[in-house]
Amino acid sequence: MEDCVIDIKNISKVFNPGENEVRALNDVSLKIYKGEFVSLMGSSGSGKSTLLNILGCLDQPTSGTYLLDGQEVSGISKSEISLIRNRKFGFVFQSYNLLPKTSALENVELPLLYNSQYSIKARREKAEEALVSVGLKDRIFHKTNELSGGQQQRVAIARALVNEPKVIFADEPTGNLDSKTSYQVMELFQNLNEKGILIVMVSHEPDIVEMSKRKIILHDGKIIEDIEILNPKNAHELFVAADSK
Amino acid sequence: MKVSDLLLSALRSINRNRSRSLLTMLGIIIGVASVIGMLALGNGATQSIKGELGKLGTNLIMVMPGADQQRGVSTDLANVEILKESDVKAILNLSPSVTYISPVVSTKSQAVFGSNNSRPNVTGGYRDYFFINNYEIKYGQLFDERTGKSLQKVCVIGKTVAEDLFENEKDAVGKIIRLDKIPFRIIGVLEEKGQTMGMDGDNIIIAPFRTVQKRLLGLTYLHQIHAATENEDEVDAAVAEIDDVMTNYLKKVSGGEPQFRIATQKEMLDVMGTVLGLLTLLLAAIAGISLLVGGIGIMNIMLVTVTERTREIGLRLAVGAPSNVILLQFLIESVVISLIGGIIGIMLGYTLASIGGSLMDMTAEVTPSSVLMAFGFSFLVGVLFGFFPARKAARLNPIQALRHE
Repeated sequence: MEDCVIDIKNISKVFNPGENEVRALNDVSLKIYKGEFVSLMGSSGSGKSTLLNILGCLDQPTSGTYLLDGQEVSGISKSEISLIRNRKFGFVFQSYNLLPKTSALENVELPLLYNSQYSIKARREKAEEALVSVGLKDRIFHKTNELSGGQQQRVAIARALVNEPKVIFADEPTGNLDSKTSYQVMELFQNLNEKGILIVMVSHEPDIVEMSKRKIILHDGKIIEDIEILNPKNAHELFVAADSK
Repeated sequence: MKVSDLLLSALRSINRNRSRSLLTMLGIIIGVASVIGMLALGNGATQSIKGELGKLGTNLIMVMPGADQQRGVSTDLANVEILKESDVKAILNLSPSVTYISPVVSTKSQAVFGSNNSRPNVTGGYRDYFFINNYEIKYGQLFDERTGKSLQKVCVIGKTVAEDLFENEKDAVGKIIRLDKIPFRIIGVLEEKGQTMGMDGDNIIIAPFRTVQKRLLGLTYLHQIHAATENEDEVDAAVAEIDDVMTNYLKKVSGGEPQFRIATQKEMLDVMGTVLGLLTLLLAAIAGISLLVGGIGIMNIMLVTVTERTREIGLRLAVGAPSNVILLQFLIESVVISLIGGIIGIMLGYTLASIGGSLMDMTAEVTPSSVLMAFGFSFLVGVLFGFFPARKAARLNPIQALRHE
């Protein structure tokens, strides 16, 4: 199908091959289409993070094939993979992973540093634009340690979307946030998804997952459930409701 | 990522850990400063010694008795009866390259004038002795004949002697002084020569050769023969000629193998230059070891930096930094540290050289080549010792790096 962005077949990932081998993913096949908002769920050790890392090309599967936009990804060179991550993907992590003692702007500029098409000026404009879009217009020059957790995660999201990615991978993006701030972050994700960005998120919070469009549950390295969420909750409404309390 | 971005990020990272960076640089600073300082002082010493020897006349050729044993008994070379005044005549007649020649006898003697006395070196020589050894007359005159009138009791005195014996050195000319109770008339005072390798070149009395040889010393032989050529490039030819003349002449006169030795000032300068050059190099090499140690310091700190910034590296890799750019980033950081250290070290080296130079009373010259060398060396240290930590950073696995606590 033309709209299929991510297509993995029979993916396995084995850590410590040998006696103490850990089979983190066991023969997983999965297709993700354009415009989807996918949540990966599962208990600790179920393989959800490993799957996210493989989908995000941060890790290579032990066996199986991965077609990204119809292109084979497994087995291509490290520098080509770097290029894919830089041009097509955005990453959001649970612990934000911002550079310490550095301004929000510089953090957001980071992915553009590795794209020589951008001049210093263009880099700055893009980064400012991204920060404005996550509602941090007045925090552009603040150092990251001067920002709250929610603000830091929004800087991280701005960093993820600054290079206009096709897919944003989020690993427990609300894991360190209270529920109200979580709704804010999820609202951002929903808005980005509206604009056509594919989002793949790992989360173990059921209420957060209810805001995505598709729920995939893993257990012992296998997909045990893959269901569409028919009426995703609206993060903005939840935020307003929480705010009025 | 452009090199300018990398440079900026390196400077920022150095600035963030200012005291740590400075301490790291200290190894390089000390290393570079001591290399430059040592080379400058070594050069200065070489120059000043060469200058002092040069004052003695660069065209100087000395013929000395060369036997260290006489019938199995070790003797003072100066007292070996090998060289005669007739040898001087023979050289003068048969060696065309030699322009100036003089026999030399020398002793130390008591000089008395009135109630003042002095203890100068007394040398007997021809008038050429002055030209050969670059003595210039300040007051009065030189001997009026080339060989000095036979047994004439006149002398030319150095500045120190003049100051010791007379209130005003101008007054010295025409006065009679006593050398070992023998009266000598002063006919000239020499221009100041200054210290030569710690010896006072002005504490000297020069009198006609035979006067000193016969009257003061009662000798039939002479201590040395001094000769000089018009130009420095004739020295080698002159040496060959003298050697030839002496060998043939002495053989004919006394039979048996002639025992003498020819030394030139040029030779001495060369030997001195080689020795000092080696010494300088040795000192610089020892100083270079501290540069090496400084480099190890850089490597150590860069390893710490890489570990400290593991998460940052993981993040950069995740957002698409190619690993060679990460390698370059940390390599540039270590090179920047060592180059900044190098620059500070060069400045410190200049300071050390000028302080050391003024303490040791000589001009310590920092040569551009030593600066270039120190700079290049610190660059090399940065690259060499930065490479291992940088490679470690570039090889990190992004997932593990991101999880690093």
